[in-house]
Amino acid sequence: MLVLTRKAGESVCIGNDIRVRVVSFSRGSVRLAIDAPSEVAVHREEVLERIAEENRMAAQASGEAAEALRGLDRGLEEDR
Amino acid sequence: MTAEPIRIEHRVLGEIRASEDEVLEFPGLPGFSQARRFVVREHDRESAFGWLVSLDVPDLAFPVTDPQLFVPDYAPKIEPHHLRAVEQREGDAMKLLVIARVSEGTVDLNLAAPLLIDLRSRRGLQVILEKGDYAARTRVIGADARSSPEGEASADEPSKGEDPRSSRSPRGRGAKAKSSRPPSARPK
Repeated sequence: MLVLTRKAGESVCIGNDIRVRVVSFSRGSVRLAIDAPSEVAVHREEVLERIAEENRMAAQASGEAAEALRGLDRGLEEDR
Repeated sequence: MTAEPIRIEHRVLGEIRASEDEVLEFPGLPGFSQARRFVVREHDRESAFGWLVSLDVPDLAFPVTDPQLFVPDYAPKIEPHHLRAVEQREGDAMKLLVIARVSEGTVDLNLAAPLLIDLRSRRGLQVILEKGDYAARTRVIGADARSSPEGEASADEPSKGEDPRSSRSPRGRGAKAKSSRPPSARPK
């Protein structure tokens, strides 16, 4: 892993079209400005991780889900 | 179509056949960056649920549904860059699905990260909504089914251990289902 030191106002470039600039920092927080092409997804890690976790849980439960859905569908059919 | 049909065997869903023109391409999903090619299959002819089945990762499938069936006024903010990512052009038919967590008697929808699909380009994207309008786990069926932030959710499926015959179609109700629990699902 590459570790760099930057001052406020300085930037790091990633590839040809991504630039991350340190805007300011205070009391343990750093404010970043990110310039990236729109097709590059930029997310806070914890937001992305939350979605990844939900995806994993939904996929893991697919066996149980198939079983439960059969129950729901039987119910739907008899409603008709 | 002359292309060879795709055929995979899924541990839970059994044999899945698909033709190339049914394949949806995603840039991976969070937690599953290697899963890029999918097909959507109905769970059953009349089911409100379907499956987003990975053609790349063995035995990977996500239960999916149309969020509007459960949360009629669900309106996530889709940004122009999301549309560009799925190569949307004017007039394209679009589809919005959400991943569901389904267990016996409960269903939770991930309304914070809907699946945006362009049916012409066959490109899809799991959109991660930046504004916290919708929860990643919104209970829409079962005990504790709560209303969405917009105040709409139906809660008419049986809770754990109930006879599935007491369930109803999610289309059937909705408007006044705020915190309701059907009589059949009341704890004894």
